[in-house]
Amino acid sequence: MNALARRAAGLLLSTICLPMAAFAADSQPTHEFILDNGLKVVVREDHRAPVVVSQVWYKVGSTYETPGQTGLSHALEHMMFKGSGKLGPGEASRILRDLGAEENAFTSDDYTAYYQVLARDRLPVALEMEADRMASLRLPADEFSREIEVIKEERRLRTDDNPGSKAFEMFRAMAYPASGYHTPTIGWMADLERMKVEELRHWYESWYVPNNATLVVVGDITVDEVKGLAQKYFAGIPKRAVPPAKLPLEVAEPGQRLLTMHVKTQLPSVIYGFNVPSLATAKDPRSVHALRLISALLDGGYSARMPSTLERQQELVAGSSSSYNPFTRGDSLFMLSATPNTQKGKTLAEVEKGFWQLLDELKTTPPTAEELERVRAQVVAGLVYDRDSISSQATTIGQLETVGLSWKLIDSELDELKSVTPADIQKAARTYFIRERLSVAHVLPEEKAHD
Amino acid sequence: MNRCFPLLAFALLTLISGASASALTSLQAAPPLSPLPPLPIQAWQTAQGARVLFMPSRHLPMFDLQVTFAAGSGRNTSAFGLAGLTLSMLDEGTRSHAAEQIAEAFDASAARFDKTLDRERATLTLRSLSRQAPREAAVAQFVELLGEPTFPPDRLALVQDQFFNRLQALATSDKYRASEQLYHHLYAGHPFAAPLHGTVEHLAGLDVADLSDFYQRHFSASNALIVLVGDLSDAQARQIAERVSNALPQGPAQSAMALPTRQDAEIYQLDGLGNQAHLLFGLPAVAADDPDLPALTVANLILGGNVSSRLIEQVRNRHGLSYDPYSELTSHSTSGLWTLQANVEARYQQATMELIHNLLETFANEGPTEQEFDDARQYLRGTLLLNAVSNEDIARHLRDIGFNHLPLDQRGHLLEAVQKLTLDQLKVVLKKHLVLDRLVQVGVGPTVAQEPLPSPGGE
Repeated sequence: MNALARRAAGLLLSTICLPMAAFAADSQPTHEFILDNGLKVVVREDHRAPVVVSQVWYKVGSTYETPGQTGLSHALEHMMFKGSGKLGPGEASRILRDLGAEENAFTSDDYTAYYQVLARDRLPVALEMEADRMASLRLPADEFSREIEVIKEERRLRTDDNPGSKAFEMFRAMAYPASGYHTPTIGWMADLERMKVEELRHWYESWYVPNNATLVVVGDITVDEVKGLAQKYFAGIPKRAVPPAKLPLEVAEPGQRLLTMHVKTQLPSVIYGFNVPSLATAKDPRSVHALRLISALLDGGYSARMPSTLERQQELVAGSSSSYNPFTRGDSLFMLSATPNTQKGKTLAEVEKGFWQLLDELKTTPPTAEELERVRAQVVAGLVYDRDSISSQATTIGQLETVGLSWKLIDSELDELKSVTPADIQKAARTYFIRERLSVAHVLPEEKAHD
Repeated sequence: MNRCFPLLAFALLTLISGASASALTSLQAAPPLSPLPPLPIQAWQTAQGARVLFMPSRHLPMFDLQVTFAAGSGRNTSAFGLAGLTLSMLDEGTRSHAAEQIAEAFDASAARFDKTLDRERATLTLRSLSRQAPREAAVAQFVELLGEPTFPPDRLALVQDQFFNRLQALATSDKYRASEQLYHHLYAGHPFAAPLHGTVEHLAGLDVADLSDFYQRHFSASNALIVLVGDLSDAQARQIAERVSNALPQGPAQSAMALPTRQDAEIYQLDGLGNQAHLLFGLPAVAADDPDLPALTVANLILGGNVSSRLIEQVRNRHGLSYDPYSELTSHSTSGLWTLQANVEARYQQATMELIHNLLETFANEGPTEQEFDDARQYLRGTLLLNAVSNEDIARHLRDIGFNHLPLDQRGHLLEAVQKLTLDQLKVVLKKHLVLDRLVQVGVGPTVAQEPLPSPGGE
């Protein structure tokens, strides 16, 4: 669910999605091991407070779903709180609450994950519960009939009644013509209306097996402690083959697409998305690192090009952002979005012109060494700042593992980013920022529909 | 101020009795909770009168600096929006640097600078690496904009436009409109009734002199709270605090915020743009230092402040009406409020409001059960441990205890008060504050035919 929110927020927030740093790794050792049944376990030590976060990640999400069955992964996430072999519906939540733990779950295109944050000596409880619902979910029909109503209400709240998310859902459906990324994680309403608990059981039996999961523990704990506990609670769950999962690949240059939507908003906005590879799909990883730095050049701080040029010098936009997620299982999008400065009477056409000026400049003029240094410094510092939260450390590890990359990637990250040259940036801009890769959405206030 | 339980992904127990009957072996073996260690907080005052709270944390090579002033929107009663505009303009130009240079200076040292406003407080935050070069550069830029802002007129026009754009966007936010309506009513005649982000009329009439004057009176050292958390030695922390304090204008501290007067119950219905209805219920509650706060904190957890609260059970699990209903206590320095919110399909608005009203009535009359009371106290104990791990959370905590003059070991004090509390005492406090003839109800939604609640248990 958080993942749903995060994706919508991507419209507003700039993201240079980077994992935690490798430096100071000596003070925070990270270990991995694999149980005989295929469960992968990653442990990262962080001894600031007597607290741990435990996360179980499954390699399943909305990109695995087929038309007519959208929303299954997310609905199954809800039903994971409705009872398993040793636990009645909601009992796990109540027990965790009484232990003063925090828990939740999130579903995205590429993964479904469950987590608990709790006192270090309560970790066994979290692991026993996760093992129990990995092996023996109950899926009661009466609980499902109530919960699907909550899910529909969640869809109304987050998407149907949220003009920005609604527009973004349609935008993604257009921008990803070939891959499962066009499917909204929460599912289309028509599919929620006809979802059956039997479908969830089939989904659960297909994907919820130890060899399709990663356990990540970060906090005041040692690898030996986690080894003992993982063995005790998870080793008895048998391995089982999962269906073949193919990478969600896109058409490289599908042609320019335009969507015009009228929604209940007072402010118009424009969204750009270029079809680009991710780290998992790129033939040339250097181009992906170049795109990451481009996103930072455009929107990596208050002095970056979008706020500086579009917002302040030209007074063209009220707000703008760029984002690029290189850590997806399949192909990705490089996005720009902005709201015109209506106080100055600026139009969407003028904002688009401003976008293209920035993009063309990247193609023709190499960034100065000073600007590139500033951007790299922020990226590197961001790696440190992200380690302030034990949960975000665990999420980074879980996400990398689940999209088919290794958490060890973080060791080579800094070098990779440092090796990107101004020429690489120009080359990536020329390759990817072309109209054949572009989807455009014009999101307009409803009253303009009659103009 | 923040909700503790965002975006609950799950629904919960219909009814389970007997906590000890669990089949989990790990639960039976779980040791008793270890004691809550106090945070190593240091407190002092600078020569100019700024108060300082510092907690060293040497695990990561970074630190957070926050400076908070009693300069929220409740301090600009004659010009709505002046507090926010002044805060927003601080980094738009100084005697030494233009806005663009300030932005570049922060970015070049890889620091993160931010500003936040609420009804009572204006806060500037700086997150930086602790290594000397970036630390020095970031702190120097931060101190400069705090101490010598010039409020350039061309930038003012730009920032005013940003405010107008934001007000236009907020006009379609059901949540913002409901919250403003609630404050407008509960704080009638009080400075907190002023709209948080101002009004177009007032903002348009403000000039540089207004901002300079507000700055001189409110951003003084004696009106400042400096919070430092992270990888700093005592000497470094003292030096940074002195530099901030020396840079600020001199002047008296602001007087304490007035107390709100008593208001009657009211129901508001505002037209909403969406297909859902946003419901907000509010009651006056207590200040951050009120002796009733520990009991109300426990009561709030049971009512709607955690994942198996009465609100979640009734509104979400039993009737499937709402994804994320919750309640929260907000404590300002001299007053506070207790709110409940839920989003529901518009056709069920009336029925849901009645459901929640009945739930409140039962809770006020009968109070929690013994089991709920014990569970909530245990839960609170756990969250206190979890909420003091990251520098960010600790800095937020220090700001709250500093601004409200709470004891340094506020967590320990709260825990002790909650452990001593009896169920009967809690019921007395609950009856005193959960008074339904003061309940304000705000609904924001479209006008549609109302339907009775769907039957419990789904179709």
